[in-house]
Amino acid sequence: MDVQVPSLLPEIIFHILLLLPVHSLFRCKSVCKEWYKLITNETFVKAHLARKNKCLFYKRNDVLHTCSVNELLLHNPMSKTSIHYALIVDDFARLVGSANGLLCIVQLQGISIYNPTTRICNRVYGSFVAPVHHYQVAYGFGYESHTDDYKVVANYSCLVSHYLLLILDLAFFQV
Amino acid sequence: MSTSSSSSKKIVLKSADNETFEIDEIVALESQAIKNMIEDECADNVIPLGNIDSKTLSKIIEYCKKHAESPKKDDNADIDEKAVEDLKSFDAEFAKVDMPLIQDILMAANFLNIDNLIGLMCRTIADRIKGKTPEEIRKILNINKNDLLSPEQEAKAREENSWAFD
Repeated sequence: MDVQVPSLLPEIIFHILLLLPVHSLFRCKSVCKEWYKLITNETFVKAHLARKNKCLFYKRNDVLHTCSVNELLLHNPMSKTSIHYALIVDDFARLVGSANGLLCIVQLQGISIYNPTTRICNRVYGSFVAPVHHYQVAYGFGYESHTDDYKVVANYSCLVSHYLLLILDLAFFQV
Repeated sequence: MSTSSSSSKKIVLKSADNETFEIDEIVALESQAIKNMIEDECADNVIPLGNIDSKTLSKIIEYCKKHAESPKKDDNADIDEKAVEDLKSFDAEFAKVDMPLIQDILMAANFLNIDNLIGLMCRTIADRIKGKTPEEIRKILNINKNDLLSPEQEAKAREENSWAFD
C-alpha cells in the first residue's frame, strides 16, 4: 500500500487543469510528462476552448488589441487592452473573422491564421489569395465541423462583376 | 427537515480504519454512488468504505450534512440569497485544509461520486497552483519526480510558450 499522498487520477487532473487560465496552463506543461500529455491532447484543448470567455479583437495602429467582452460593458475598453505582437505587417491588413478562438487575418502577403491563446501564427503565402487592387475581395473564415477543419473563403469580384469563389482548405495547418 | 423526519432512516458508513459513522439517509444520498447502492438495494445498513480513512470520511460527512440541509438550487428558482451565501462561505471555510487532505477528500469524493465536492476540491487545487512555477506545483502536489520531462522536452515546452514564463 502506498502511504504517501495518493496521486490524483488523470480525469481529476483534467478537471483541475480545465479551470486554469491559459497563462498558468502553459507553465503546467513543464510539471511532468503526464501533464504535458494531458494539456497538449486535442480533447483537452477543445474542452478548454469551450470554457473560454468571449473576447473582442481589434486592430489599431497596426497592432492587434484585445479586450474581454465582459469588460467592454464596464470600462472604457480602450484602456483595458493587451497587446499582441505585431502580426500586422501592411496597411491592407484586415481581420477577416474568428472561429473557435482562431483569428484569420488577410494581408497583401497572404493569409495568417493566429491562435491568440498559444500565440502560434501560421501563414499561407501565395499570390492567389493576395488582393489585387482592381479587384474587390470579400473574405470569410469558418470552421466546418463535418471535416473538423477550417476554411477561408475569398470572393473576388472585378469591375465587370465577374465573380470567382475560392475556398481554401486549411487541413495542412497546425494551429 | 420535516419531510425527511418521517423516513429518517439511518445509514452507517465504515471507514478503512474501522470507525463507524451513523448518518441520516438524506445525508448519505448526497453521494450518487451510495444513492445508487440504496436504490439497487445492494446496501446493507453498514456500508464499508475500505479506501477512505476516518479523517477524510468525517470531513466528507460534514460537507454532505451541510449540503443536504441547504435548499437545492433546482428545487426552487427564488431560494433565498442568504442560504446561497451561507453555503458559499461554508465551502470556502471547508476548503481551508492542507493539500494532502484536499487530495484525499477529492479521491474519496470521486469514488463516492459527490459532484459538488469534486468541483469544490478541483477549484481549490486550481487556485493554489494558479500562477505558480512548475517546480512549485510539483512541490504543492507532491508529484512523482520519476515522471519529469527530459531536459530536451522541458526546453521545448518552455520555448513554445516562453511568454508564459515571463
